[in-house]
Amino acid sequence: MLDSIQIAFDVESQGEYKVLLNGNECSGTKVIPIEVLPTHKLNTLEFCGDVVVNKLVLDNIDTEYFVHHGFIENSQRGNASKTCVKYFFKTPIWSWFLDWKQNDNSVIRELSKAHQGFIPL
Amino acid sequence: MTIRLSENYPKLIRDLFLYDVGEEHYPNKELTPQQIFQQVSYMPLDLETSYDAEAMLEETIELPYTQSSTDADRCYLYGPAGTNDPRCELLNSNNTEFEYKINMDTCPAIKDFIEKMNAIGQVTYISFKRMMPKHFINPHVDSNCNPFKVYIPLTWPQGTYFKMYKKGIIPFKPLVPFLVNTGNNIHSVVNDSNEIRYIFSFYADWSTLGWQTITKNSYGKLTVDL
Repeated sequence: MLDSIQIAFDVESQGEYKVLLNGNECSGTKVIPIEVLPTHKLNTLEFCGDVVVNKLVLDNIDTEYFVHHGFIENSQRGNASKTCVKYFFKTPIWSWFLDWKQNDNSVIRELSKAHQGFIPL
Repeated sequence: MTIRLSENYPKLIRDLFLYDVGEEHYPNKELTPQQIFQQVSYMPLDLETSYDAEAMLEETIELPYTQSSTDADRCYLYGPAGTNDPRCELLNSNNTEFEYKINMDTCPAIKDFIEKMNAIGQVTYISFKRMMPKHFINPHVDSNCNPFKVYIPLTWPQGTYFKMYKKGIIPFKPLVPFLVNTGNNIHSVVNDSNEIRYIFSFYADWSTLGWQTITKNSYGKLTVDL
């Protein structure tokens, strides 16, 4: 049996948009209980449409500026797209997010960010 | 050791304290200072100096703090001459002149302590921190800072915790200095007590013989107990 977590988000859109978890469309409003993959697998979460993702709360944990690290068209990163913004995450969320945060704030990454601005991971 | 915090704290912090079972392990052999800096996340540090901790605490309580609504109030007390508060000794700084940042006439015990530390080797930045009950510091890495700092609790009320991700709870006690690597390890601090917590921390020139000797000797004393 798969584990379940709750996701909440704040999305601005021009027209309709879809939320896809691991390729499957989620129905519901802005708080959705979802079944996630086993801990060694990467989950994908996509917001498809003309969208801006302003906030992403996974398992009741605010992922802060991770929201700006979505994968968008033309090999770019960000939180806005005319097609889809795609995020990757693992569970448990607390552990995955701390690993991500530690990596994003490492000295090497900070130097790159200071020199180039935001760069893809 | 895992801790169940009160619901007062964000879920990320509660989960970190509850589910992270990582511990610090010390290699049971002699290490060079360089190896200690590379491999140890925290350890007690014997400063080999006496100081008047009671007087320091009295002075600490009266310091002019910059207040914070949720984390720790700060008082920047000693650091590079002529610059704004860098909040830590920055990795890219090469300062050679240091000065007190407040009038030290009312803090003779703290001043005496700093002079004793400078006699070991140059101290590069000192700040005092006051944390109110139920306040917390979100998980973060001090990546722009000198990774290694000396952290000295003046008070450590029951319910106060310093958690380093995958390395456990640092076993702080009042007046026991620790060397902590906060530049490479994500960490979070909570005061889940009803008392105010006072600590101070400082950065030093770790390349000086004095600080390398203190570090190596402290590790040596630690391995005796393993």
